[in-house]
Amino acid sequence: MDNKILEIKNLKALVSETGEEILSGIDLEIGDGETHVIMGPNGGGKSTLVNVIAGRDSYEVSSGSIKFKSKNLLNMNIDERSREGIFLAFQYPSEIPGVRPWQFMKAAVDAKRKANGDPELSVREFSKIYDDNLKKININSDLMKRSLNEGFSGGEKKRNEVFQMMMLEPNLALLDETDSGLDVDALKAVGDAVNNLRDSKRSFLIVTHYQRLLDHIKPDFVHILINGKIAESGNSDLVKKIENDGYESFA
Amino acid sequence: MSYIDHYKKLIESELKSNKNFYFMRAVAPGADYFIENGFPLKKKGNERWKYLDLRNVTSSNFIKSIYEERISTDFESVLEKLNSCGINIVEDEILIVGDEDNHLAGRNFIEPEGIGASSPSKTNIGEIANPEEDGFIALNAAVADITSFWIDENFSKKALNIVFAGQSQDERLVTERMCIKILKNTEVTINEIHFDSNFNTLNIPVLEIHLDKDSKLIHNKVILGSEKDMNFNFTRVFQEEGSSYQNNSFCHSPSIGSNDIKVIMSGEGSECDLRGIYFTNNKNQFNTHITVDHLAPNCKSNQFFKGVLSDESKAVFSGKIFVEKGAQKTYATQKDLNLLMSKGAEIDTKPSLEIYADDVECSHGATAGNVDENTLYYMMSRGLKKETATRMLVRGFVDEMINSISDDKIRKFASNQTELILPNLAFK
Repeated sequence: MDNKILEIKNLKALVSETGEEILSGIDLEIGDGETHVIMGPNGGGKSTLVNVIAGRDSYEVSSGSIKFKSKNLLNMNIDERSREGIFLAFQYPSEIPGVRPWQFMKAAVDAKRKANGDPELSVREFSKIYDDNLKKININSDLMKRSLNEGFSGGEKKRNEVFQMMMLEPNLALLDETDSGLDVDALKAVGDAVNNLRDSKRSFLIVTHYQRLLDHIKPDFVHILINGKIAESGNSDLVKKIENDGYESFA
Repeated sequence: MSYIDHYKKLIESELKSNKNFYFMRAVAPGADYFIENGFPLKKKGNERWKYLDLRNVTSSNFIKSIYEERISTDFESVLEKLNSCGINIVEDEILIVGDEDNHLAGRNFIEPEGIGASSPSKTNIGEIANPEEDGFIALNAAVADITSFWIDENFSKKALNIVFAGQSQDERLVTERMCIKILKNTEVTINEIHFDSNFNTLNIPVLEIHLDKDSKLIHNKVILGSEKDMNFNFTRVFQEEGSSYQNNSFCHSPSIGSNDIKVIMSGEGSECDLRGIYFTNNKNQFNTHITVDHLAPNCKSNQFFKGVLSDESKAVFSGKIFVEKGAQKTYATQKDLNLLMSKGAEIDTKPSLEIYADDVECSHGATAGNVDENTLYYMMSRGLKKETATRMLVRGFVDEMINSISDDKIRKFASNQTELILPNLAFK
């Protein structure tokens, strides 16, 4: 039997502040090493789904369950989920004045290693991995001397998200519209980075509006999320159907 | 007996013992003003102090401290204390305020002037800090312990460190007055350091600084308060043509106190850059009061302050930019950003611009916010615990300011102190 890294059953979630239900019964299973893509119209709940998995507390799970590596994810804080191996590449990454990217990543990597019982990396060891990854994703190292994300362009922020993903080596990476706002070169860089990270121990859940990302990343499964429910699942052929008929045909 | 009567006696005895007519010019008006008005307790029409509760100032009849009562009176222990705070300095860079033996005496770069000594280049008490401006300054003027000196081009040290050592007794009044003149073309750094002492003391230090033509002063001010002491700190600066004044203030609030800076830009083409960070916690109250008077054309001023407030503390920022009619081509900016760590903390921030010239560029802005939830979420999603993330956020907020301190020792010191202060601020 295939191992499932993520199992979502009948997940319902609402906005804590207003009580508005956004997810109305999601069922989704992701196996080890699989890449899933979620598409769907605006307001369908795509972003909400990945944020609920990451643990954002402005959403409240009203019913259902999420298991990650067979553990109950809903019992874990945001930071615990991350250390357990979940990574969310943000649609709108925060700018953090005075916090340097290096220092931020060192703290994050240390926290994860500590949680896994691994020894802290020395500055030298860490810097080597850091510099190597920067090169791979092709971020200007001068940029990384600034405060985190401050003065970064939209594309640079997205590259930086993928860079952080490379540093943290998650088991499940959630990409929330990482491709939007990217030029062709950046899009290719993001696609290459994801493809390089794909292996049997790492799964991806990618939220996107555009088929063009899928020119770079070939998904195993495609899901269409409409009105808080998965309206249809299939392979990449589904993308062509969306191109031709729009989302309305699935509603 | 009212508290004013108490100080009246003190003032009268000081006047008797100090027969030097030379200084009466400032002492007498200070005495008169204080005896008539007392401390600025009235709320009405009192823009500077109206947000603070100054009643504790009158809760004790403070008596004047003597030097021997300071916590660190001997030279070695002051050096040691500085050392333990990460400030390594050599003997001839230090001036311990109130020390009779004045460690700077006889050195070639500095000439301490005794009261009444005449020098063509000396700044006299009250010349820059008007004793009738404020009750605190008035009391200081009336009973001040005065150190007056000038620094010239021959000053070869990296910095002059002026240390205000804390008291070792309750109910002491400390009224140091320093009159400093930086002579023409001289560039110097002065570090003004106030050590905390956990005693009920009323500290009213006043610095009067005169910058001659084309001189440059970097003035780093460190105030480390405690739960018991009060520190009303005044700096008054007079700038001549082409001079440059930079002030970096690092303040951890005493129980109540202030960092009160006024810069008079009197000479054309002068520049001032005032920056600072203030931490307040518990029920402490701290007032940052900044005034820049543009009296001459083509001057440039910048005010940039940040506050981190926690518990039920209160901070006030009032920053004023005044531009005289003739001060054309003035460029003046002001910014005050605050981070509120708890619901009980309060900031009153009050920018004010008074502009009489028509060809100027002035801007101001103030913000007060909590730790941003989105940012916290972002950081936690990278595996950082909430505490770690919060601390890193606050640290980042503070570091923007600290990193602009030019003096290595003071910058490191401020950084270390922040590390000590943060755990007490953020997570109670």
